[in-house]
Amino acid sequence: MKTYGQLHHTVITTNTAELIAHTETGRTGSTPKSISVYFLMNFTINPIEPILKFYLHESNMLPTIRFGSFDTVMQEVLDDDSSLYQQKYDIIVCALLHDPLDTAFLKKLVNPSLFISELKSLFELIQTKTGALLLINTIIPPFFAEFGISTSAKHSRAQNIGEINRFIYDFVKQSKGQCLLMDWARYSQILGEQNSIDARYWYMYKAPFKKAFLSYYAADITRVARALHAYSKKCLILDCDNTLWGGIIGEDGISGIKLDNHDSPGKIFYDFQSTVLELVERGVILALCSKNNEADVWEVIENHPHCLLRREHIAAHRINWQDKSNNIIDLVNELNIGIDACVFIDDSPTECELIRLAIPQLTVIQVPQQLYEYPTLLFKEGLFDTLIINAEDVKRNQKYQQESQRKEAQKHARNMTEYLTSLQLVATIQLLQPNNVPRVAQLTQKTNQFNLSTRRYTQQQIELLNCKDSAIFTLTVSDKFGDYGLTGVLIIKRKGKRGHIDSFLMSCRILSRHLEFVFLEECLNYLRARWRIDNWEAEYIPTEKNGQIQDFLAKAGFTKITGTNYTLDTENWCGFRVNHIKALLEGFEHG
Amino acid sequence: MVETRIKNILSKLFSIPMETINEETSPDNVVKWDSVGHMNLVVSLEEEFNIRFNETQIIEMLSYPLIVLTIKDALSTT
Repeated sequence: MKTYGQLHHTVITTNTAELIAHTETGRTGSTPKSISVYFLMNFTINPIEPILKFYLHESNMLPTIRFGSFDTVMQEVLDDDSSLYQQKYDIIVCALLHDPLDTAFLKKLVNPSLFISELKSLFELIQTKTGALLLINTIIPPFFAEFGISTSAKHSRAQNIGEINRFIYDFVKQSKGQCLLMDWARYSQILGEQNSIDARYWYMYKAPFKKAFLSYYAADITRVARALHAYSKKCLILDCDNTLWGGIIGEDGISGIKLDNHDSPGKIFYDFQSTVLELVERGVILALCSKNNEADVWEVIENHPHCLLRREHIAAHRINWQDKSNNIIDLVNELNIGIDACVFIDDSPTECELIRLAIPQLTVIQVPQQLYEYPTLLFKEGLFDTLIINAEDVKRNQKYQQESQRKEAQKHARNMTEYLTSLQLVATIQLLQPNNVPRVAQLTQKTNQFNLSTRRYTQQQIELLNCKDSAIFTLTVSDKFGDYGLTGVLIIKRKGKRGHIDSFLMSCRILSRHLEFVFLEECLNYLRARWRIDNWEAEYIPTEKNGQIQDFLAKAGFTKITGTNYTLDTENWCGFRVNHIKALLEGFEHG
Repeated sequence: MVETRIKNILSKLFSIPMETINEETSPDNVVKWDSVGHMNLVVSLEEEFNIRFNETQIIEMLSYPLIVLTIKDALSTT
């Protein structure tokens, strides 16, 4: 089995299209385990999908990966009907990105403790309502110091983000294994801004992360998945010469080998032994497999003053002159563990290659040419992950949630209303203004999902449409966090005594707030007065992409007549009674 | 040939046979060519041809012929 380092290298050197095509077919080994992952997100994290699939396939797992709706995380968690609850997910990834320049985020940074309590409520709610493992990320510290050298003296973004990240570390720690850390701050630290972020895609698609960053993130999610299915490595098998110490004990003797807690290169092997010792203390099984005289090896292990690994740390050994592959198989049988739970380290490229070919399920690592990379190698690979809780615990939690969820139904409605009210939504509705024509045309061309009829218009066509017998309305939305801009368009034509809704569309970033009802209500009421009309028609023209809006007309009180046609009679209409949105009607008297 | 490499990428990304790619191929008739699909497309083309598009090129590359034009243009200026 490949190391994470090798998988990462494959990801970043393979063309994205190839990776996507390759992962479509889901090639795994025999009897793969299933794993389900749900992403709650406030930005576009979808590009991670083929990379995550690749890592999981290579881990002999068959994934189900779903993405929630864009930037409506709290609503999705509060709403029992959301796709989050449609099946039991093993892993829920809460991917929350915060732009250090964004005014909404800045407002939260002014008082980090308020923001921290918001995050805490969100995480606790997710844990209460699902039994899944929850993966939360740290915030990437800014790539600038806005106060220059005074940054350390003033309350800077870096300091505030540090405070929030400390909360995240603590929350993970006290969650007793239910919640795990995806340390974005560490990935960006390792990769740097250039390899983490593509600012073009951030501004254009709200998808800021480059492949290398996504690869680190996907690798960590995979580590959780492996640990959940007990696929983590449990055993480390080590060669001795030039692996545990520099030099060859049989030739250099105990005073000639390099193993020292001060001087290079002996210090490098000392530090490597130190990391192995940490792993052993965490429960990893250690074995030796070396072509040597047993007595020579034990002399070092028992008597060398700088040998940290002693006889009591070693669970089994094969020290002889026979073939290493056979020795390793022997060892694994003696220890009674799976060969795919083992990692073998040797300095010889030929030995490594032979053993890889002979035992493909074994993870084989060669001592790096650049020796100074050796001590941190095992920590960076992260092969020995364990979870405090296991898959059975997760299943039990999920069953428990199912029962308590029914009791939560009443409470949920109140929570949702409270939450939506707290947003302080303002919907500004206007008739088409000349300076909005380009944006309106663009929305008709770009909006696919919340779009009733998917009619595409150019700027010229919009201008032509804006005549006596038709009305074009725009919706601009803001809430306590900021302005979402012009994000809704409604085009209604007068046909004799009836009003025909030609187009109704809204950007996905303002959905799940009931704005569509307020928008429709205010516009219809305006036209009822002006045109003296109470009969309306609308069509829902289904496409591959607008399934999301299929229930809207019914929810808005329209009656289905045939196929795609609906009607609404507003003679004694009282509207939708949406209380948490303030509607501002601008310039309606001019029409 | 540039056209073949582009068709290969479109085919792999959007699961469409290379022979069906023609002047009409665009988001309007390719199911998987949505906004995420377009992002993946741009990334794949940049990797394949080792170029970096500007925002205008990214927005305007919305059909097979336009992609061919944009790439040939970008390759001739590097």
